[in-house]
Amino acid sequence: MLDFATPVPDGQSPVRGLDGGTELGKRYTADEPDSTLELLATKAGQGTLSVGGEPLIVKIPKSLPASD
Amino acid sequence: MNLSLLLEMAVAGYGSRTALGPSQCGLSFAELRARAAGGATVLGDQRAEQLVFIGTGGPAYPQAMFSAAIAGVPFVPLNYRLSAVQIQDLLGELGNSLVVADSEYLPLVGQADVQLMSTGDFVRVAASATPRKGQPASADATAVILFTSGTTARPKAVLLKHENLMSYIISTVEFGNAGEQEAALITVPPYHVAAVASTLSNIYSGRRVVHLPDFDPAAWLRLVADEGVTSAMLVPTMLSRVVDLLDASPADLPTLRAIAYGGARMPQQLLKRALRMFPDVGFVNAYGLTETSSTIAILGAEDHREAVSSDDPAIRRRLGSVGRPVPGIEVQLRDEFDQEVGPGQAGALWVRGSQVAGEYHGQGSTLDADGWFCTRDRCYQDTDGYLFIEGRLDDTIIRGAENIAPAEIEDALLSHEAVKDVAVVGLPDAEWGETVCAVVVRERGTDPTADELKAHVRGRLRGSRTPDAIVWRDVLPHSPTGKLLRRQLRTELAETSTSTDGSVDGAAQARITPAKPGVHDRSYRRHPAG
Repeated sequence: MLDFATPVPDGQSPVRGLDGGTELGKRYTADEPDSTLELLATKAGQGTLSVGGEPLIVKIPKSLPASD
Repeated sequence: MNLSLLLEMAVAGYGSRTALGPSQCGLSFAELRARAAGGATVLGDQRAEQLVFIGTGGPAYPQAMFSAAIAGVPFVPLNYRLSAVQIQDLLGELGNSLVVADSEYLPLVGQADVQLMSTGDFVRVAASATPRKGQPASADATAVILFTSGTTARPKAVLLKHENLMSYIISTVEFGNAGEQEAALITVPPYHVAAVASTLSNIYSGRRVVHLPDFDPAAWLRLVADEGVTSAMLVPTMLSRVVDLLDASPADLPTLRAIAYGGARMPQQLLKRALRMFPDVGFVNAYGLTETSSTIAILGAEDHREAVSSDDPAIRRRLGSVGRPVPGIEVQLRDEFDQEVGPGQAGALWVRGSQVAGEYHGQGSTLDADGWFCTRDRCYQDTDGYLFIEGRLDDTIIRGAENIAPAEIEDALLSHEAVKDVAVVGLPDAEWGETVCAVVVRERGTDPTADELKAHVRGRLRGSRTPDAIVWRDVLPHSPTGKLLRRQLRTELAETSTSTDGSVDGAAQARITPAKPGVHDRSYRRHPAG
């Protein structure tokens, strides 16, 4: 993992098994019941988000009506 | 945390989609970001500490909002209908600003010590300025400042931080969920929290926005048809005018799928009429305050449909509710000793959550020790969590989407030599939610006319503060300790009736349409500036 401010060196690629990709705007949570973890991807990428080596899963969005 | 992140994500996800204006020739999200970044350079060059915007809704509004965000300074839209004196007073409170104003509002700024550009010039200069990269804002930086009239005459500056607004958007909007054919019509003025919220939520959804700066029901219908508008937000008085026009000349609006309403109490008769008139449109009631970064409770389209078609009176009653709290918001009803009320009891509505700002300029935070904010609305909650707003804890009158403090008008009337005592109250009204009624006790031997007193008020305050009706009394009800009994007075007046333009002169008892008995549905209340 790199620090946020560090430029990514060329030729790097995600570790196999953690290269499933992360989608812009999607929320991710731990693959366990009642997980209190929620991440919002503000930038897409090739890597897979994980906690302790366990890949996170996409959280199904609650559908709320547009109120604005 | 910076609002500009929302625009960055939009550009990354769907940069070439149209963000503003007509679908064929409007501004894309990428173009909006480029222009906003240019505007941030202008702000930096001017060393402005905030961007004050005095203009109507249009493409310059989101551009200015995001210029301020990228530059890391607050965005301050002001009410362009204020007087020059009021504008300059507010500017004095704000300090070193760049004021961007539509040409017709430039004179309002007068000799105020600010930098001034017309909206046209700002957009033009921004277009050719080198786009500036976003500045990381400090953890609790203010993103938007909105003025609200609250309960006293002097407007208070509500400070909305980046984290408050971001929290609201991220909790309630799914990124990029709008289809390419969707379009939102914004008619609510730029200095209203609803305009800020819909600008942000539409960008984060990927929904094209069309503005109608001067509301007119015929223009609204034309724009809905011409632009293929799929969703619109209206305050109740606007909805009323649209419904009246369609009654007189029916028209098809095949693209319209959703109407969100709020800003003031929605009269139930109007809502039912609108539901009948638009059977294929989903209606959404959004309740919130400026201080809570807009919506904290929603009564969704499904809730409306269920309430209309149910046999169960408890479910039918929900049509008059403001729905259930949005994700991230906790609610609590408290009595006058700040204790939680028992089940089924009404109390003051307190809320907590990251979108709740509750901070005013020069006053610091108004949150209690545990982070709760008092909405100052009286409320009860049914067993399924639906919230019913019964009215204000204080005596603010809400006419249209404007907050009116009785004290201001009472003071103006008391300054008239023929007025001995006066109480100004709001009376329920089918169109406006409430109208302003002044109950006057005349000095012995005087005989002022209603018109005279109205003119007297109009000379001292804004036109919208002029009472709609004057009622004469020999005495006003007071408690043994001398406190004016407003609620009693309101009840007495609502039981008689008056014409909405008239005065009640002796025997000529004109009639007000009596309010429907039952829940006073203050379905949505925000605090527009001024």
